[in-house]
Amino acid sequence: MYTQISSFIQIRIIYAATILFLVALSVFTFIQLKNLTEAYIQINHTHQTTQLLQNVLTDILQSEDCKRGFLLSGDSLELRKRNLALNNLSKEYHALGHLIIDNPKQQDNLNVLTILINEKLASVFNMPLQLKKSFLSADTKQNTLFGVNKMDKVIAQIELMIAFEATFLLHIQGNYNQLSFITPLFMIVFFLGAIIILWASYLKLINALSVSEVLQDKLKIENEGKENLAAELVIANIELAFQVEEKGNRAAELIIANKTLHYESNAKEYRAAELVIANKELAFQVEEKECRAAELVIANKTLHYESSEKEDRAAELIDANKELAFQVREKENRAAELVTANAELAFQIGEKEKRELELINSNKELQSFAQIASHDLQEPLRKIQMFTSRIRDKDYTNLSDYGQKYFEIIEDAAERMQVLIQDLIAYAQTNDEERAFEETDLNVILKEVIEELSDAISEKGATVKLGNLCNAYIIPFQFHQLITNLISNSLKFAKQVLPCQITICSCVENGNNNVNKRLLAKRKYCHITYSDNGIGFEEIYNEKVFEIFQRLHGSGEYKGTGIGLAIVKKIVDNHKGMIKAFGKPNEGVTFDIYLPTK
Amino acid sequence: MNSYYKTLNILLADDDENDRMIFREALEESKMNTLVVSVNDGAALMEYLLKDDTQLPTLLFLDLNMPLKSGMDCLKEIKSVAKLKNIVIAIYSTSSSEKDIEQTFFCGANVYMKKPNDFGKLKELLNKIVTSVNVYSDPPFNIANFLLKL
Repeated sequence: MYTQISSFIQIRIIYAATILFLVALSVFTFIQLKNLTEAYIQINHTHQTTQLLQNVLTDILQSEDCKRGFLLSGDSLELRKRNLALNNLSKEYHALGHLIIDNPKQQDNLNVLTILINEKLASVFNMPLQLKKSFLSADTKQNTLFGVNKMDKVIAQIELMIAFEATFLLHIQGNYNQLSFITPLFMIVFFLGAIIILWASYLKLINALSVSEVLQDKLKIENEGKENLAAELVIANIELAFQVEEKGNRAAELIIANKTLHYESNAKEYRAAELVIANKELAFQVEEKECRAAELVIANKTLHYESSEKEDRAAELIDANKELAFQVREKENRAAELVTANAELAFQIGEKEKRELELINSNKELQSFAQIASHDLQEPLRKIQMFTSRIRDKDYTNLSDYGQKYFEIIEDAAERMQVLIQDLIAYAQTNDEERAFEETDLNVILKEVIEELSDAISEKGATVKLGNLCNAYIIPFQFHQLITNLISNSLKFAKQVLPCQITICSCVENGNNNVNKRLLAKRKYCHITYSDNGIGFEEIYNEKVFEIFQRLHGSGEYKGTGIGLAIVKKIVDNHKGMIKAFGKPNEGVTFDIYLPTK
Repeated sequence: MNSYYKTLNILLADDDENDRMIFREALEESKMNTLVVSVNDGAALMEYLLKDDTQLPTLLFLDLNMPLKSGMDCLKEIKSVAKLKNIVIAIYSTSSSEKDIEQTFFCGANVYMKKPNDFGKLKELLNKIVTSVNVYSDPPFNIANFLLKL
């Protein structure tokens, strides 16, 4: 990678150098050519100036010549020639002025020449038109001499100017020669340089291309190699999977074979042992046979006796067979009975499920019964009470003594009915409510209940003693109802001679199977002990008091519906707990309540 | 006391004949200046109230459990009719279930009275309600004293 980058950079540098070289070359060539052209123009310029100067001289000379020719021949053609020459002179003079406008020295020289030419030309024009008369006149002679003199000066001046141009030309020529020698030399050198650089870059490119081609070839070969390898790997994988499977099969076969072998070797050992025993047996039998041969003799004698015996036994065997057949039949019968019993059991399980469903349904029915009780059952009762209250207000005094007594019984019954209905509703609703368990301080709930029942408690002169109390995991409002019912019961069944005293305490303890089989040894329970000093009851009623509508006393003695403790039991069941009552006549009752902790 | 107030028009909607009788007797005995009209079911109640020539009552005692149309339905309907909106409504029912009490309150009933078992209590309760309606143009019933107790 590094070499590739560097070769790229090299190629770029080479190309940049080439371009710079060519640009420099063209700039240089342009400058040289321009210089050469300028030198050429200058040489040309100088040549032109020299030519014009010579032409001027020629024209002046020709005009002089023509003038003399006219003076000699009097031919007017010579005059016209002179005029033509003068005309040319004026043109060439103007051209000359134009040419040397860039050269101040030559301009000065031209100014001198102009004066000289003018003086000379004045002598040319100053001549007599009557040739014959004036030809030899002194005036003409003098004029001619003056003209010759001027002519010399003009020639000298022109030659001076030509010489000046010649020196200038010489100088320019030197420059030109130098340039025309250097330029091709430089161009050759530059071209050679450019060719060398191009050659170098060409070599570099070829080199880089060949390197990349080699790399591409390698890559191609490697790719092909990899594809081949991948294909081979796939095949190898399939092969491997197949081999693994084969190995699995063989392992299974080997296991089976091992088991078979093991079994066979066991069997062989067993047989070898058997053979040893058989051999011993054989030896023993040989001995035996000898003995038996002797015995046979004796046996033969006893055979007679035995054959009669055997007949007896055969008869016995027949009896035994009959017995056996009977037993087999019996067993079959029992198996059939078992099948029946199983079917019975399955049926009973089904029945139990049905009963559970029925129980759920009956609970629901109880709820709807509570609904009915709360409305429809109360409705006629309310009317009875309403109209008895009307009679009591309006017509009670009109009743006979008997009538009044019966009337009071009706009132009483109606009131009991009302309490009963209310209790029933309360009992039914202990299912209904949401069971929101909370870790609760029993102190709080007990004090609430005592506060609510404070009127009844003080009316009876009762005292409620609270011992140590723990927290319990309970449904608060249901537990509230439980304690209310227990205290109400204690107040109701208090002895008339002794003030009612209630004691409540609780603690957390491990379940003890000895106390009750339903308590789990590993679980912790909140054990609440509730006791009073009331009239109590016989031990045989310890279970019965919790049954609904169960009353131990006549309605005349103690009022009650027989629902209170049923509700208590139900609430304890809702807590998955256990309640036990221990009654003693005339001493009171103790309730042990076990509620599971959280 | 009666003479201070003009006659109070009371409408009683109750399907139970005995209750209607006892209701009238209680009002009569309490000697309040009232005029009681009664209807026997919910449908009859709505028909009576929506008739054009009906003299609308100031106070309506409404039983909940009635044939044809329940007291609850009547309550909702009455509260949706502009001209009946201002009638003071006292629910007069055997039921004391929380559900009924809450529902009727939120539907706009003014007071809830459980039918008592005793004639004396009935008189007292009616007296309280009628007096409240007489004394206040806008009786001071609210959620706290909605269920009227003695």
